[in-house]
Amino acid sequence: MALLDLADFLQNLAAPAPRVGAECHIPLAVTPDGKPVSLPVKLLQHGRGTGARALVVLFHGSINREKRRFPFYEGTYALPALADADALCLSIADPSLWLSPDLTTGWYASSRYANVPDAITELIAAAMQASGAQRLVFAGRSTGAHPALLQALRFDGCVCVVCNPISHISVYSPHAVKRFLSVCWGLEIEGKVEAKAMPSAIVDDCSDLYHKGHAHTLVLLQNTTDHHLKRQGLRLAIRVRDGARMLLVTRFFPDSLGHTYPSAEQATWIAAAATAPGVDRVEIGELQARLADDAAAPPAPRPADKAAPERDLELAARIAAMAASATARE
Amino acid sequence: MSDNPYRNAPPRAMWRKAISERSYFDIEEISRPLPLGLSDRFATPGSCFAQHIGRHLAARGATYLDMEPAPGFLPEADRQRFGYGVYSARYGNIYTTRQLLQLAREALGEWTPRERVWTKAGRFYDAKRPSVDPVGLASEEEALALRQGHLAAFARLLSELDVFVFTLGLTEAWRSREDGSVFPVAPGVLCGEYRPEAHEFVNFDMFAVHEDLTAFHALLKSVNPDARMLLTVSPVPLIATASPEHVLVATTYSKSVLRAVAGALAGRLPDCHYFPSFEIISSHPGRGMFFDPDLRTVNDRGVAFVMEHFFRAIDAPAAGPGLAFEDDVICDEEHIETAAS
Repeated sequence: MALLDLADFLQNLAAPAPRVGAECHIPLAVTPDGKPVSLPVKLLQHGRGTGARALVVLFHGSINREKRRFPFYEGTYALPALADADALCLSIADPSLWLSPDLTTGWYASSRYANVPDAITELIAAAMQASGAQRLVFAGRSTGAHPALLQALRFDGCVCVVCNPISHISVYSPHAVKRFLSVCWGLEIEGKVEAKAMPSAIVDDCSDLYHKGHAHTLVLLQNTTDHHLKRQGLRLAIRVRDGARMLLVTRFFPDSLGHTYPSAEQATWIAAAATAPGVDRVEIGELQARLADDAAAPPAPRPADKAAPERDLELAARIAAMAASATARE
Repeated sequence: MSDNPYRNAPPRAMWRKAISERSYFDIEEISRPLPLGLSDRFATPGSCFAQHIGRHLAARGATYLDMEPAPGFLPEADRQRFGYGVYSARYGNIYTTRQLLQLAREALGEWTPRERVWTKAGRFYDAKRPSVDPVGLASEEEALALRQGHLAAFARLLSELDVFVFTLGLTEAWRSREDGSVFPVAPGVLCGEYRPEAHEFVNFDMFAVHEDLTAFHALLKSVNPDARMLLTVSPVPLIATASPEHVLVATTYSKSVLRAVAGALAGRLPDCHYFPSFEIISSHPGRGMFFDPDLRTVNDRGVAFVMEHFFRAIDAPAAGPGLAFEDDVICDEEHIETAAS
């Protein structure tokens, strides 16, 4: 599908059956060497449901640029869980990644060329108005949680679902932070990255803002074995002032260790956030539990459970006959 | 600063650099390079954990020996229950070094145990591998005939393998008072009858384990001079102990003995090596995350993590995506829990 301009993109969102795949690159700036910087956004899905319309906004985390083409629109993992909801799923890519082909993450935190958070806020406000959505859900994992957390603070009453958040930029992997500062801000840092080295125009640590309070529901999903837990997710959870508006879910997944989280599990949280009767954390949590139960397939019976003794006796007899025959041959 | 023996020690030798300051998933060089390759012919007996090693070796294209392949008439879904494809021959779990030594001596015609067949509900079972025939056999003769075939297969395995990967599991066992014949599981648990006058509990100490493994190594070399041995210790704790100790204390003793002997032999014999499965899964930097909620069985991620290090140690090419198993491991020891309830 061809790129739409912003007006057409918003008009599409207003349609009863919006065209899925519609994409728009909202111009933000042009660098001194002539490189255009735009905010890429794409409509990934419009669910079939007929309930209250929700707008679900998804952000990507760090990207392996050797494997992924940019703009990269994260969120396909959430789509099956939202297929039966009247939910518009918008995925936004980080404009700063236009600046260098080897920049893997920029936290949507801006560059010296463009104020990314403000551009996203403007887009979301317009999309809400155009689509008539009655609920707004932000979702992001890892470094993609940073923009979700930041934007949610600007839309009271929304729901923010973050997973293994990297919400504090300056304490993240020094290599990634230095690359971000170099590419996006022209700052070359030697040695340790200090918080004071971060540009004042960006939000380094989202927990500073949540420490002042928030007016939305925050669902914080955290893998217990995530090695970023202490400096990122745990710090955020501890500093959130309004704990009654936060649902902290920490879980151990034997098959999903480290800075990962089962996608299907995340998807049920996003679906619950979009479709629960209200945005209270209890309503979302209770619905998610039901959705997760529904999604869990019944365990396949073990072969031993299915085996009939008579059949086993016959198999044993054939095995014994085979052995006797082999002995006779020898 | 004056010179000292640790001054130029590699990062892997220093706890802070090797462990404290890195994610456990980024741990490096936990195994010394192993002079093995995927083209070697592998055999993998041992405790339950050895099954994981065999499956991963086969999946990665190693030459994984199977001396008793499943007969064609046996449906795929039934093969594991009948002991086929679980190990390199149909010997079931080999938990102790004494059991291994006795099997090798029997296969090579040096010894014959007296108590070879157990019964249950009118059916006959091989007492040395009672789980491989889940419903037993119609007669003692059938059971013995199958055992003869199995012993011949095991003898061939010993002479044809390049690498014998043995996962040491337990030091505790039950044996015949008459001739010391060791059973993989206590009589009466799966089948057979426990008779205190005929059977006794034994907890092999490090001297006995060392002696058994040394004797097995000599036997192996006598039929296959080029064979190499790779020892590893199962990280799976005891499901039950027959010793007077708490099961945690008994587990620590058992694993310590096995680990010490494996290390001693790997240090003493040039063609014997050690791979640290036990340390990777069980040591405290792993924080128990590789265990299932029962804190005993190892989860798939743990198995994958061990094998990742194993293949790195043998310098095998990186794995392709999607190398995962829904492991359904056969573990005779688990029947103890059922039998006890």
